Amino acid sequence: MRTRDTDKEDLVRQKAIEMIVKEGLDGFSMQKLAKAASISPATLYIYYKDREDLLLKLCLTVVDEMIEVSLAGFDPELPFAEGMAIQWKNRLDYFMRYPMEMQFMEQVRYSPLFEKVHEVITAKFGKVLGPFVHKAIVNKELREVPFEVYWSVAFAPLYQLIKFHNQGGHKNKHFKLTEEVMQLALEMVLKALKP
Amino acid sequence: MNVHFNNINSTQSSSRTVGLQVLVFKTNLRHKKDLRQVSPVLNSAPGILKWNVDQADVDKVLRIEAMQLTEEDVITLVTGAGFCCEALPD
Repeated sequence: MRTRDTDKEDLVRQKAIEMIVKEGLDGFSMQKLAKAASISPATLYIYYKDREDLLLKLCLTVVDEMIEVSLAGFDPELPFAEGMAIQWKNRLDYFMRYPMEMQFMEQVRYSPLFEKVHEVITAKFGKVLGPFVHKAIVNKELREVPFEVYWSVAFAPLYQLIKFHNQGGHKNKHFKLTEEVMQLALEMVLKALKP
Repeated sequence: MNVHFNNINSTQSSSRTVGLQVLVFKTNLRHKKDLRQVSPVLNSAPGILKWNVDQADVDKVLRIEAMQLTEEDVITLVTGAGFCCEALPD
């Protein structure tokens, strides 16, 4: 019987992410991926139904890992400021450890594929972070605002700092996102989110 | 869903016919109308549990999840419907 080889599956995923980051989603094909991973297209089709199935499963694997890292050591019962600090640290940790996956998700974000992926992200994060946020509002630690406003203030600053870290800042080409810089930004964010 | 439990063919010509298996083929099923033509054939074939064609691929890969079916069986079915079909080598 043909068994699934998990090492080979990991290699396939890694190669697929590299290819998509380098050449974009449009240029990505099962044939090219098979060649890059040194396996036959036939073997690839044993694992995946078609190109779309592969892309979706790839995204979901990346998202699962991202969520797992993001929620490590996190407890929705934590005070708001403490929970946010863990969130920021974990998310930063993820993006430093997996820069390829981060760029891959950026590619996916603007494709039709993202709708399904987004549902999964929202459901999984929502299960843990929903209660955390509601508790913070009840405890008057967090101002009640539309979700998009909350998210933009709570997390977008971190992602912009990561971008500056990777690409250089506006004025300082050698900008580095250090622990101190992160703490400074987080402090301002927490202040802004207070009722 | 193309699920069929009826009439499992019992001819076992090789060890590859035992249990659930995935068979993949290179075809020329390029257009929607090609799929419309080949659908009734594959849907009614005993032993085929699921099938799909990756039309995003240059080889228009036909993928079949089957019980007790040989590659030759599938090639006969698809070529019989007027299309090219050959096994993708491992």
